[in-house]
Amino acid sequence: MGNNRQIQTSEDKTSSFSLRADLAELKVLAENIEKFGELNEIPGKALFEVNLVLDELFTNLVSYGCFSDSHNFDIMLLIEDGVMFIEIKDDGKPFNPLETPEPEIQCDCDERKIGGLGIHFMRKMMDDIEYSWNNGKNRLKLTKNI
Amino acid sequence: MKLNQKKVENATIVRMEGRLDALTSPNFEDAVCKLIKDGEIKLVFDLGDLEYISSAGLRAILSTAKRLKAEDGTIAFANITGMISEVFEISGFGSMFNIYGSALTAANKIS
Repeated sequence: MGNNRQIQTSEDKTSSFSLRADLAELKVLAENIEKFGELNEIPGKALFEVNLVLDELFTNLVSYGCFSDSHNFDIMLLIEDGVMFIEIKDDGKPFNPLETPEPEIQCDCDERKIGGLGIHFMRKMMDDIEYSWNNGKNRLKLTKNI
Repeated sequence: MKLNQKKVENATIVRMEGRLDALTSPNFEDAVCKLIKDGEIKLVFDLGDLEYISSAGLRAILSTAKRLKAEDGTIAFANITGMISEVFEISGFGSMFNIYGSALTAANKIS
């Protein structure tokens, strides 16, 4: 039995892709992250967290951030020495997720609201978050220690 | 997202399979809404085969819980493990609902 695993190349350590502003693209997001995770042997937990955080940001853009139907959400993944760097650029409405308040999570079902939970996940699951707005684009740089 | 249901005593166990996100949660909500309309108001959600959940999925679960409460129904969860469990904990959902180790135990408890 031969070992079919490819020798890892530096090309495997980065991945760039773009999503259209359509929720159906969540599948493409999940597939791309899974593929990147397999190539780089990233543990399932970290991969789930990266997928979740990107899903929340993307779903936010599609649900609230669009001026038109033709927005793009550009994602770049890079892994280096056990640290994953993620850069996201979108041309939707200016939105700095670091300015959103923390949600109230200790209350019972009747009062419970869901707003802000996606950003809460990002704060909990990423190790560093930087936001900037330039050239008409939101740009978010996330760091995740694997 | 696949849903399988099974009646145990007075409760209905709904086993969820796949991903519950912004894309799939509308179908989930429709299916559960139909169950409730058909009079199934004691629901156990078995999350053992749920691979993924986002805040849109949690939103769907919360609105289901509120709908059941309005009908004097009961909601319970079973088999919450791994990353689904982590998402429940981080979001505060873990302390908001009754969670059991197995779907049968949950069904017996709420019947």
